[in-house]
Amino acid sequence: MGPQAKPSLIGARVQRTEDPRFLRGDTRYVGDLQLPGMASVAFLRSSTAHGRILSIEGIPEALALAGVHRVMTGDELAERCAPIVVPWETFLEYHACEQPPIAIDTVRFVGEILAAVVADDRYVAEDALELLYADIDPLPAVTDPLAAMEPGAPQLHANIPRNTNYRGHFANPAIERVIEGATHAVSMRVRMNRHTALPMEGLAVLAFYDPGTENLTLWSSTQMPHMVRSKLAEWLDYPENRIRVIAPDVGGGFGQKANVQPEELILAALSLDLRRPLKWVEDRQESLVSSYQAKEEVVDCTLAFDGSGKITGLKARFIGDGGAYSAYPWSPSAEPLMASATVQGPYVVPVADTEGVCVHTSKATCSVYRGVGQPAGTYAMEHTLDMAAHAMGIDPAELRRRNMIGADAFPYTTFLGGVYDSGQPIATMELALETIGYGAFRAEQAAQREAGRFIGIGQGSMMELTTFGYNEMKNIGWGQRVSAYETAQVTVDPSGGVTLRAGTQNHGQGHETTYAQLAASVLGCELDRVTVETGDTSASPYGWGTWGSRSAVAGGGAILHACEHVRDKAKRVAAHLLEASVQDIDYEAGVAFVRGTPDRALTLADIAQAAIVRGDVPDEEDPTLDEIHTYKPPSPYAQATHVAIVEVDIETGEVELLRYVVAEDCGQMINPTIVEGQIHGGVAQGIGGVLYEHLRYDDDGQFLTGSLMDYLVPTANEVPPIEIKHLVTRSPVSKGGIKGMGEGGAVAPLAAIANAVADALVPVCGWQPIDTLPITPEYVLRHIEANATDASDPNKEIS
Amino acid sequence: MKQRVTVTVNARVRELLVDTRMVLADMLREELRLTGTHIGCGTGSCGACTVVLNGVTAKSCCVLAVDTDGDAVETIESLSTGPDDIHLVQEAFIEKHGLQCGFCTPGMILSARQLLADNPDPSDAEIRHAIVGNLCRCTGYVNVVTAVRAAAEAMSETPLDAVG
Amino acid sequence: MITQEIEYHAPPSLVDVIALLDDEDRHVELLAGGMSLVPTMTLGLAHPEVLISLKRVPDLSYTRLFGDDLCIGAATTHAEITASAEVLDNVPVLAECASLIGDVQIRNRGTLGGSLAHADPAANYPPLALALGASMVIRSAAGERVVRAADFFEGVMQTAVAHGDVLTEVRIPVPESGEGAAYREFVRVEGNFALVNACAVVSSINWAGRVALGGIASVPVSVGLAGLVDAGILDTHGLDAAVDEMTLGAFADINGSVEYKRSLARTFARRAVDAAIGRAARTKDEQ
Repeated sequence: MGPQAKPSLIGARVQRTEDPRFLRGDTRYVGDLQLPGMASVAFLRSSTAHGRILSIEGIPEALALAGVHRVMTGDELAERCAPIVVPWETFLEYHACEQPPIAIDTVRFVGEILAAVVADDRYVAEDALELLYADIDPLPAVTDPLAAMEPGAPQLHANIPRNTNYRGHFANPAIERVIEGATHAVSMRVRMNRHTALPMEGLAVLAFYDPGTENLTLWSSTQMPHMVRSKLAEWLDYPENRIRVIAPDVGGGFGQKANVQPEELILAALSLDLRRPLKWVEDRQESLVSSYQAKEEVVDCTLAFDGSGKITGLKARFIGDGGAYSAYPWSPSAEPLMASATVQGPYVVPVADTEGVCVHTSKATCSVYRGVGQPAGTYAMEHTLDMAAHAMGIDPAELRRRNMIGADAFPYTTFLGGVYDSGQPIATMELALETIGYGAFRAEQAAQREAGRFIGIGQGSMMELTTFGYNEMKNIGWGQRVSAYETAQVTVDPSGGVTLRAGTQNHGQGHETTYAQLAASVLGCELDRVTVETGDTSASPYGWGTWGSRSAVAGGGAILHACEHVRDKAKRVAAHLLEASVQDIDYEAGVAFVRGTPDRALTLADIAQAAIVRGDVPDEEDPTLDEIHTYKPPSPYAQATHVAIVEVDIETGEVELLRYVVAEDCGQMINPTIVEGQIHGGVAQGIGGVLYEHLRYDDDGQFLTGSLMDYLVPTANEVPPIEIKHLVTRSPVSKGGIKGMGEGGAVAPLAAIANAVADALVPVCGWQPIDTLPITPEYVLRHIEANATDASDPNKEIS
Repeated sequence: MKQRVTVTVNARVRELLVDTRMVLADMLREELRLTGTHIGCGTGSCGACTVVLNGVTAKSCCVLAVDTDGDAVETIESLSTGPDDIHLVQEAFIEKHGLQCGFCTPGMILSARQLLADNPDPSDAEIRHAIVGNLCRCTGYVNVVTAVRAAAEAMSETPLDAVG
Repeated sequence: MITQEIEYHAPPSLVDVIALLDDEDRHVELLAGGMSLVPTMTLGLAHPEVLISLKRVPDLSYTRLFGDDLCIGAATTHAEITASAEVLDNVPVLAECASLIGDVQIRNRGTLGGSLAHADPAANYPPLALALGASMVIRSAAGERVVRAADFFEGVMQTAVAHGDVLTEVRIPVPESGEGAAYREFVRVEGNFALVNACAVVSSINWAGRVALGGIASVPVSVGLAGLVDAGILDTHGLDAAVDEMTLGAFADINGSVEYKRSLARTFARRAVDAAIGRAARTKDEQ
């Protein structure tokens, strides 16, 4: 035994090392940055949903205002910048639209940029906006995805018939026969609401073209700086190696910032033109009306069962309302595609036929938001399962038990040919049910019912596709744009300090801590000897950023590998210095020593000094401790069961969450405290999505929820305490056994809460599907009114 | 239109010439470079801009800078002088993982501090009620509530004059 | 951000305020806490050219008993009202109502007078003012006048506070012994405006009283409870019918249809009256 072994930091509840600067306000978000000579940008945005742009009036008057430097229209920008387009050849039925970052000729949603103004400060820029006027000849708008697919519907893009930009059908012709021959078959349709990630920091861009070096530096509140750099280079036709993109502290993203933004392109182009730094900080009204929105879908789901309650078939169709354009790199089809690909969940489904369709409408563009399609897929499966349970008279938990994939069946191949690497869905569900006291709940429910209170319980079980691995991205076709490997560079300095550089991009997930935990575990150093650098294309190796629950597996895997390479190198150098064979060198707790003679030992700092400063290494080695590793990650699946208990006030329709339990299994955790924090936040966003948040438009495409007074976000009063239990099934396919988990918290709440509401209302109106989200109080009352029968008249039962 | 104001900010008297349209949050951020005060909505809904104005918390995006003439403002920057000087409430947020992206955090800390000054032993429900004006999109408030409770406990074990 | 250019004044006295209000050509607004006005300006929904801040005007922030009334200075903040001993001892329902406005930060700065003069149909105070029979004291160059709540609210964000007027004080009759009052509201997320709110006052001496509703129409509406409460028992069907009648002017908005808001009106009228009856009965028991 060598130096005292330290417990591994992997799996430890380490406090976050980055917290103090956030708590003191010593952070640097883009909005906090100032450069000498910096000017401000503001945008004229459309108040018409769909129309021909005849002219932008008032430009001379705006330019005449003191302090105004430039007014740029779409035509002018087009000379500098190509339109945003998302090519994607994998699916035959896919049509790419073009989006000029500033609209040309046609405007397609309220909030679309019509012109950009550059002025000394935002006040002057806004004054100039007041002088501008867009003369727009209105065209008919279409706001409903089903209507948009009809013949004769207003056509938003000339090259996209029936506004249908994507159709992906994972067809199985056997499905109709299975449904016909089923002992039980149940179907439902649900309209999922359009909502939005709403990071507390909106978008922000600071672009700086330095005429001396001809370098363009762009600070952006983004989740993927390298991808932004590549597209700036391509669309602005500017050398990529002269562009640097920096994401400093980023105040949340949740997917909304995992897209190239039109504003990034516009500011970069303007800065190249005006040769000065330019800043734009999105305000909340802009954020709500124009930033990428998400998750609006019309979902149809049918489940077929045999006489023993086993699923025999699944048929599902997800029609996504993609809004006006396509966001790079995902296109709005990501939402229905992911729903159609993940609807199977943790269940054995012998025959499945699923379809995803994406339709353009005259609303803001939809892209990815935490979970992307998985909340809709999980809702379809879980809510239909509850519907079937009630139809068949089987307890919903028991029905799941009969259909869940057994722990011994992993690895399990899904209907699509994907592989669930590992998991124990039944044990996870049982843990959640036991934690919430499922067994005792029905008696409690009956007692409360006697007292005139309507409480209900509901669950949502899920498999969470994480990481979006290298091969999976190729299979989906996204790999053409995003190959999704990840690279880490680990550098030991002469003092033994460790610097990690990665292409992922922290925006609240605590990478500075968790990545340091990985390095400190492998290299045996103290946590505070590790520095993490991400989010700067000049500092980090090319990488794909942070989204899709990928950073722990992809970035973490790359770091683990690179650190192991450094450790192996340190051992080789130590063997050389200690004049021992490398086979006889052990490395523990940051010390390399000769096995059996622990006093013949060198610390990492000793080795670094020898190698880097003195060049005292074997002849065949470089005198560095600097390793880079590129990891092509797999797609491990995490899984969870969420259980909610709600109370419904049947007079007002209000839904109150009484308890919320999550049992989850994300494999080897790096830091359980951070895992739990991610779940808490995801659940809160799920609660928002199912009960409160709704981006609304009228039939003419006018936007109705332009401020946080109208777009309702859960406060501390609406989110209950969230109880979390962990199971750990290490992934057999990922480095370190790690599975992703950042999105899972937001995936199951919709299903769990809707199931609980439907359960609570059984005595009032029987079990009826919750077919429109969010579950507003008014919806609940209408739902009761539409379904109440004499037999289930609540007043009758009360008396 | 600009007007002169004299405002005491973090115990320092500042004389400034401000645009009459400017809100206090912008004055702190743009004129005084106190960028710990964040702007999350601009309409008083999110609380990221929370400061202490004349002894009580206020949303600085809903206060005109020119209307603070003669007033006293404390921002998050007043709570600690450097890396080693950190308030008990801030300490508790580290300990209980009460923050993630950190954008709402300065406002959250100031609201928590006011709550604990008014009510040193709040229930969880009282904590939740006290931070309703501070939206957080990362934590689901779960660990925020835990952190405020931990801060209350830490304060009850600490002599008052050390709390500040 | 606010794009409208603003001329700002902070005069030292009410006389100076009133003098500055005498501006026929420009849009002049009074600025108190600013919790409604400033965000409304930020959203581009209000465009005052001149703002007159009340911050330097002395003696606009107080709660004191005078005769049979609780008198509250217009610049008293919601937080001060919530904590005021005079309020808690004499009109506790006012503290209950104020404590549910917005959030801590908004209550710290928003004022009673500011809220009443702004007259958002969904604000907390209007139904309370109507149910309790409050009076508003308004000063102008012509002198002082007192307007009863029933005459104060004239429309959506329109009140008896006219051009050149300043709301200086709110007077609420201290309930007589045996009276109970309650405020109830329905909000989707805490801190947001109510969809519907209700304030009821009931006497346990004769079971008379009044319930007022806000959020449902352009102005708060109310109905007397005579004949609807007997020996502490509410005739719910009778109240429902009465509420239905007074909510014929209900309007739909993003928060709900007319039908839904009227159903909430029935529910919250009932809940406020029931709570007021309970409190009135307890008052009786204590005697």
